[in-house]
Amino acid sequence: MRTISYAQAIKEAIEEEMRRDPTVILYGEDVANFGGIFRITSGLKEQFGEQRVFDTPISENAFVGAGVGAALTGLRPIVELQFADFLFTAGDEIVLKAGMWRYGHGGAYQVPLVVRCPSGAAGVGPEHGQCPESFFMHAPGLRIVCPATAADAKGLLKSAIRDNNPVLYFEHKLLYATKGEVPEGADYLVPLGKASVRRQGDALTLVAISAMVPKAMAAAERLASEGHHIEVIDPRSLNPFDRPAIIESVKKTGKIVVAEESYKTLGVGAEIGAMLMEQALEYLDRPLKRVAIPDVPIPTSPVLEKFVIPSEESIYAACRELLN
Amino acid sequence: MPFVIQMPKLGHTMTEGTVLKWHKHEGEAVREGESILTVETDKAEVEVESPTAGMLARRIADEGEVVAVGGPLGEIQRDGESAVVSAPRATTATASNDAAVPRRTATSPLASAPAPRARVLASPRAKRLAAERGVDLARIAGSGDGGMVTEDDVRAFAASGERPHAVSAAAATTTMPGASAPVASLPPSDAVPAHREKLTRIQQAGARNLAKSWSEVPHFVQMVRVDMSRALDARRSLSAAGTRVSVTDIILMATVLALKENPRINASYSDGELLIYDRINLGVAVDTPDGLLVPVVHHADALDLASLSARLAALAERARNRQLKPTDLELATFTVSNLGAYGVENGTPVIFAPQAALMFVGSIHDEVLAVEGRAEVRPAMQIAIAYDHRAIDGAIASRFTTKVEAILEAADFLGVATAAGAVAYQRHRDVTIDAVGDTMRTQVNYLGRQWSLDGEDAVGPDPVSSFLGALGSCLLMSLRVAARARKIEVGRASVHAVANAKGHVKEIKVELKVETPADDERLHRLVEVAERGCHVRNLVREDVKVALEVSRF
Repeated sequence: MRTISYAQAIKEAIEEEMRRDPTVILYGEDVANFGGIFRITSGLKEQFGEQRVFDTPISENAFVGAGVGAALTGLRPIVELQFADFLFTAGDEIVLKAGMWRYGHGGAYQVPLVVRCPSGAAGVGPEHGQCPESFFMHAPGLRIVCPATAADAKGLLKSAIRDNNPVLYFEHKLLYATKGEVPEGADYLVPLGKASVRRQGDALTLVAISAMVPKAMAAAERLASEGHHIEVIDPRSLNPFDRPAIIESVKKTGKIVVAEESYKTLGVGAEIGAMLMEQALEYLDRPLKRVAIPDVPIPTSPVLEKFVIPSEESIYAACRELLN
Repeated sequence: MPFVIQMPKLGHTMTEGTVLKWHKHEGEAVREGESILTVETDKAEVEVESPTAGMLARRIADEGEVVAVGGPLGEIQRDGESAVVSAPRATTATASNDAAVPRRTATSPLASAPAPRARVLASPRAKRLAAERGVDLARIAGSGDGGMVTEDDVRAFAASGERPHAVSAAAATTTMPGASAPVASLPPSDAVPAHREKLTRIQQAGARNLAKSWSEVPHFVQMVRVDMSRALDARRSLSAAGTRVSVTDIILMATVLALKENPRINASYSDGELLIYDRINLGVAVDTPDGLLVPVVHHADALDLASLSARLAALAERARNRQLKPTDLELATFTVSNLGAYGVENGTPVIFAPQAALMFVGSIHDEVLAVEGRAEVRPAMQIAIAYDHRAIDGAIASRFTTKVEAILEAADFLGVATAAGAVAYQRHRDVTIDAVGDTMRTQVNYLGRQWSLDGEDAVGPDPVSSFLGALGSCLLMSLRVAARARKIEVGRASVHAVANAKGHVKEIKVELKVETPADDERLHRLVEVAERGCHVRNLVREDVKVALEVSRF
């Protein structure tokens, strides 16, 4: 199978879906003429025309709102935010409109909107480097997808575009350049709500989200050389959330570490912990451990950023603590 | 976190133990497996060993203190563990130091009833596994944070053959008090009961009462073997005549009769006094769906066999249908437990205090008995009577025991003509004659009856007169038997027998007078047959002339 980058996979997904479905449109800041701030969409305007690929003014609330309207009235818009952090700027349209209108109108409307959200700390400071997935796990009605591999980036985005609900698609900036085998063909889809067991093991369950997945895999590799077989689970989407996959793994291992690039309090790890208390308490042999950002803004200093962002080393250390 | 040493459970019934002796001071180093204290149960003394190397951080229970199973005894601080500030000691220390205060025999605050146990820190997963494997978490030293027992600890413990870390205890029942011996392992976990049954309140009360009887009443047991041939014959006769009684009924009736003659057995001992009851309330063990119950036939001394049988049948029926009233189970003065139907031959029963005695009845089966120098197969039965030795001595007991035997063997209380079989016949012709004093008087003993003959004293009957009486009565019986066989109606009949007045008997004149509608020919033939069938007549030597005259009323 050919190997392409995570960024190329995203572009390929958009191209295939725009080709497949004329109601798919793509817009955002600098998406058309510049090809996007991370150059994901370069050439798409030329390929699909200004009617379907266009730039917008710098007003996230306005253009995400336009996307909600377009979705309600029959299009399948892909809206690109330059940074996932700007979801807060568009918060009203995201949480109160996109997330709630289908419900609020008794199912009379669908909101087939995809909001692409480049996320993750990459030397860009507190306002452009967050992974805010867990904020929106708290909001009803929103699909949340966070691919960790090139193949999932393509398959999940295509599923997101075809889904009739609003999807926040988190693409981690540090993953753009990572490469992996990606199936060709327009029919390759990865279903929403299905976790992927990246590595099987029985000593400990390590749940890793987005850019934490490669770090977790490296930590697991190191632990394997020490005789501990770690099960690495990549949820891939947080809504719908594949809870049974995690519970089944914990039944096997009795121990769990959750690695995520969001703030520790009320993060994904907190939700997993609560879920295990509710549904799998009797299988826990150790307290749950969360590897996440301490509850501070992400520093601009690269040194301090490195200090607060979970690393292969900190994931490894957390696992070791439970395995001792 | 220090390891809490708990009072080990050394048997299903153990609920508490006593701290006998501490072998370590607080602060003293202990090795793994080293004995740190001795505890005493009601059955054994057991060494409690340290599960780990470390230091005795704290004695929680004082010497002499009684601690419930699972209650904390002390704390061990493991090697490498930082010192822990102990909670203030329980107030037991002050109590025990104060000579004026009685030593606590209850519990420390940490070990209060019911069956407390120190909280075991264990992961939920470890708890789940321990429950699955039937492992007691309290016996596992935890390796997790804060001494938490983890899944691996449970697995390792189970794999180690369930060797306890916390205690090393003797198989309690085999260690006698005083023989303090550290032994390797607790009973295996398969000694855990598969299921538990709550006893009914009656059974619980019975259990308490039996335990009290067994521990407080000095028992002795007397056993006799009873030849039941007559009793069984009589029962068959009664049955043939339409009166059905059980063997138990017969035994109970005999017991009542024997008690009437031995009132000191129908009694109870209380506080230096023997309470003798004139009324006989007979407890009878009955098998029911809820186990053995002992309903009481009240006032059995006033009952004849038929009413005793009816009362017992009614009680047994109520017992089987769970309809016994509390009063049905009260006020027994003597109890009979008949396990004969279960094939048990003999046993040593336990008295139901405050009754002074209890009779166990075994099964009836054929045995070879020595009868008049011959070996004969007879239905026989053993009875065993337990007596409260405080109330009853061996001689008094013997009189009752042998009385029960004699009454059952004679079986005449059953009121049946015991001509109902060869065995009975043999017994009937069994007479003892004693010379009384140096007079001519003799006493004839016959089946518990007696009469005397006064020889040639003119005042009373002499032996020949008695013989003439026997001849006459035998002739009349023989006449009746013959008349019945020939279906000849016979009303009144009498004999007047006369022998020569003095010396050897040379002739006997027998005048037989009969009331019958039969004609003379039939009457004479009947008398002929009766005379031939008369056993006593046939004893008369041929040279003694017997003149039989027949007449009508």
